[in-house]
Amino acid sequence: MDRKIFVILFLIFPIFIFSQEQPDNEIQVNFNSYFDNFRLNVIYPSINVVKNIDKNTSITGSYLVDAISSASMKMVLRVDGITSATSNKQGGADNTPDELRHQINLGVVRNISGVSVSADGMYSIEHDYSSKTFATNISVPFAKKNTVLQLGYAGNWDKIFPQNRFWTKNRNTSTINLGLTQILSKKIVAQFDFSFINIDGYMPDGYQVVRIVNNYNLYVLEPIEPEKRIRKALGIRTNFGVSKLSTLLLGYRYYWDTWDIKSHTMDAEFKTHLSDNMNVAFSLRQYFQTKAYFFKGTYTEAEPLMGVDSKLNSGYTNDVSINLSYKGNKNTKLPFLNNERLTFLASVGFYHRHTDSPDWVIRISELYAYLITLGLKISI
Amino acid sequence: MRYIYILILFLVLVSGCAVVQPWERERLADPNMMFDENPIQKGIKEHYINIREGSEGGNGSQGGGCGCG
Repeated sequence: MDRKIFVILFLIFPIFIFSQEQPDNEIQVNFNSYFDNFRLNVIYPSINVVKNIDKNTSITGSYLVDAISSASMKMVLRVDGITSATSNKQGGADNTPDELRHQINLGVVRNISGVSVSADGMYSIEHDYSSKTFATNISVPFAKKNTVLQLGYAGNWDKIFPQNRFWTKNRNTSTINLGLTQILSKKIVAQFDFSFINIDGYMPDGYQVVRIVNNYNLYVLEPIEPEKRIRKALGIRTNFGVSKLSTLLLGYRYYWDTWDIKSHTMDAEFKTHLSDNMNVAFSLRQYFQTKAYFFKGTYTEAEPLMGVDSKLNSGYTNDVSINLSYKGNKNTKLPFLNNERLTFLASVGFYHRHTDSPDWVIRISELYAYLITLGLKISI
Repeated sequence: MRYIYILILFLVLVSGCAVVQPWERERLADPNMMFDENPIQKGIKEHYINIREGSEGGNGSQGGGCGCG
């Protein structure tokens, strides 16, 4: 379907239909951090605001900054002719942080006789990359709200202009999401999601290079990836109320694309109320994927298509996290913790990725990452 | 288009499920029964996963930037 027709359809459709509950007025401040053994450190504070402007309309806004070390390579890499390894210091890990990304989002949600319609805009900028996004979503309840159908469209327009190149390239992405949430019983609810993503344009990371190793000769070239990719994913999640205080979420997703990557993702999350004010969630995620048809761990000659990005490689990942939330309770004598308008959030996660051949720059196959988030929600 | 037809067919089928009345939804009203109780944290997680794995979608999330984080 033509993109313009799709957007117009979504903007007009709400006029004919009907609304659901308003979100709470709140400010959420998060302090997020990421550290891994590839020497990448990221600190990304964010602030998000939700404000109801009338009984059917709310607006949202957020601002996020990524402070990143060694995300971008400052020069075309020099490589060690014996090991073909590259010191990360040659690439940009010499200063911390050496890159900042700013992202701003603005959105509006309108409830019309039971139907929720939202529109969001996002702009992200850093010294070598910019991204604009427009997204719209509609949720329509059926059968006394036992069934909710969700339709969404998002358009992304990205510009890539690496510091060590003399060009600017574009990548455009259109995403269509279809979702269905269904109450199956008094304690079970299920959700089905389908995504269709069409991407056109320049696909590689602008800083990656392909090492061509041929006997005693070694030289580097830019990666060459197809300029079109169609990605599809089908997911199902089911949430079970296993007791009065606890829930268990189980999920599965199958993904496939025109680059021959196929993946399976399994999710499980157990949540329980430790008290009236405290909640804890334990999450597990396991993921397996096949490699893109043009990906190789090593190249001995130049080829029409060459990709070195580890996310195009075959492998698997494991992810474990714990989330804790505490809502202020006036019976507590401690300052701040007795403020009922405050909710404290904390999260610790561990992520492991195995790829079937070493990473193109760090030359190791095992990525270990640690994620810590501290957050505060303030009701306004 | 065939996926849309499948979804519509599925919608028709699940509409035949037993209807849970609003006054029977005490357990379902627990915030823990929501799929994405904190969409901000979900977005942060999706962001770092999407740039380390070759898959995307099937969970309703969107993002932007180079995804270095």
